[in-house]
Amino acid sequence: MKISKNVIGALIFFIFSVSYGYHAYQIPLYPGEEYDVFTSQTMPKLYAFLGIIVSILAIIMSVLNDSRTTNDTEKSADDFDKKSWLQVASLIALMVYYGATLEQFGFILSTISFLIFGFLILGERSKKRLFLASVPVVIVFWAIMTQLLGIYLSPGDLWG
Amino acid sequence: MLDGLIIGFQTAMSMQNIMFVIFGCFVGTFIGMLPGLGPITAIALMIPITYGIDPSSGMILMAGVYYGAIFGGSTSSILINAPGVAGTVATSFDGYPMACKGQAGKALAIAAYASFSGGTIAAVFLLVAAPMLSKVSLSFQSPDYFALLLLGLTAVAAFSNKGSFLKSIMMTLFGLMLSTIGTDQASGVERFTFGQIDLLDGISFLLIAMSMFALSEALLSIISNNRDKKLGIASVTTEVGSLKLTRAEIKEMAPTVARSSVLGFFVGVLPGAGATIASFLAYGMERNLASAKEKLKFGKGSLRGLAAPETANNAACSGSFVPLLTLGIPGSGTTAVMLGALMSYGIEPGPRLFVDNPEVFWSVIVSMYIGNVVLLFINLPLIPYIAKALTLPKQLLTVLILFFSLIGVYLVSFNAFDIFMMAGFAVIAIGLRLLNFSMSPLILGFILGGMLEQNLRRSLTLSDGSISFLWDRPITLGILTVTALVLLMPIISTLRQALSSTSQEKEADI
Repeated sequence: MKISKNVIGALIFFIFSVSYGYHAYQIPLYPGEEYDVFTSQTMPKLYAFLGIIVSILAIIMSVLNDSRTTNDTEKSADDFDKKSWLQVASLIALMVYYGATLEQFGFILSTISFLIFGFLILGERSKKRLFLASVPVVIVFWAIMTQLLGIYLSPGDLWG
Repeated sequence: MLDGLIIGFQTAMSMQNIMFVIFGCFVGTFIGMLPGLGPITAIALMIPITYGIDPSSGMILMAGVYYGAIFGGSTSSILINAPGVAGTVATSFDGYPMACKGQAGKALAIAAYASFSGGTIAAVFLLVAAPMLSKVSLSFQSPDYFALLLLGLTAVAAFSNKGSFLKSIMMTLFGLMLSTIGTDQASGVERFTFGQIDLLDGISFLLIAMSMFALSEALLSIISNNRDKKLGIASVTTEVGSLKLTRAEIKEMAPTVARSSVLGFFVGVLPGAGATIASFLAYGMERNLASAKEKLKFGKGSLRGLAAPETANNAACSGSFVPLLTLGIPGSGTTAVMLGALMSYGIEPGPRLFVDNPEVFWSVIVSMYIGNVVLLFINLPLIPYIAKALTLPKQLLTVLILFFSLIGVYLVSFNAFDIFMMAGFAVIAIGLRLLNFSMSPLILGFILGGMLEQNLRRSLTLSDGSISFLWDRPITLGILTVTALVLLMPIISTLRQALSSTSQEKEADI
């Protein structure tokens, strides 16, 4: 039996709500605060409760509907190909790399490498384009920010 | 009102602000034209820039971007049958067939004239309605606000994603849950920080908006671009042709524009309805009103079929500013992002905005006129050149959008941890989008979460812990009754559908 997108979504939200609710009960309270009508836990508990109720409702409704209609999981498999997904995953990894190197290597170096790697991931192979769309863009951006607007951009902890 | 208008014109007509409107319209048109990227992304990308300028100029810039993005969406709908914005899907029904017939210029001109007329008529309505509503809402108290916030969140979930009401509610709740992360403002207690110092201040609205919209839309556009390439769709036409319209054509469209403006404005005022529903309703209305002979032209390049959704979507954009400016309740995802921006400027949106910051209130209204004029007289003649953007290599644009989104958030916090969080939220947003969850209720829940908690806390404190504040005041009770109706309607219709199909199945089995 295939599980539809709706059921998967609702199940994930159910698990999330339960976990959120568990952590809502862990929010510390000041002594005596437990007798107050409204505490820091009130809204989180309410949201968790509503989340659980709504997700259970959504699961029931989806199961009822899916028993009558064909599910749409097959469609999604056709819609997206492996290469595109690999590109998306690589770009997400590249964003993490950018976050890790921005303050270490400095704005200019890390941004130029981010842009060049990004273009390469998406299939750009022309050296001229790779250069023109990265180095001048970063230098102009850096000049506007630091020289014109006086905004500090990290020169890089490694070189400092 | 006259004093306000003068303040508005004085602020909006300064050289700097006119430049912001022009810049905003251009950037909005450019981003809105790129398939997959909508006005929310365009506005989110502008927010870091607006932090350095005064709130009025910031709002003026964003209003220009909003209008520009809607117009840009129409351009890509007409030229390549790939709407950049959901609100311009109906535009492609008749706009693209016209472009195929070699009348792309005419279609674009109609889109621009219709947008101008719709936007202008709706701006006049806004001019009258907003101050009136503001005066009424000045008497609102915490319980009324609490009820109003509930209505806003429920209505957006009910209208924004027809057929998946529960999914929208889940997204609203997810947004509300995210809003509780960080230090509780009232007690100073840490919530869901898991010992992370970077989470003590909570998650910034800009980070959520950028990752949930700009990053995820840009990343998902890679998949759709590759798919389009494979299927060989969306060949780009940048040959626009003549932009001229005949007198007879203008005469034919005039009543359509008038009708669609009124419809668009009032649909736009409803929370959650917005430009998309307005454009489809206007298209449907025009088709129903057309004679049998004219009806046949719809979908094949009808002038009325193009003018109706274009007028309505722009009128709805103006309409959606009414609840934002008067009650501080955004009616759509786009205005929710603008509300977030207003709050980051330290401005409290709501009825007090009209009194405390009249220059922001009135300059936004006036900038709408200016935005429409800019779109018509500057953007339209430049469309053949702006349309060349559609031929730019997507691989370069996508990575640049990722860079500007990441650096935009980093430049506000100067914290690399935010970039990691953005990558994480982008992954979550992609997952949610693939599971057909809408992002607008999420951002709305996230932005309104703090206000909801604050107003409930205040109401309960004032009523000594009793929930009688829910029915003590007629306004609160009235708003809550409407909320209950809005909430019950989709539930009843879903249950009715489920029951009727079950009974049909049983009958078929017998």
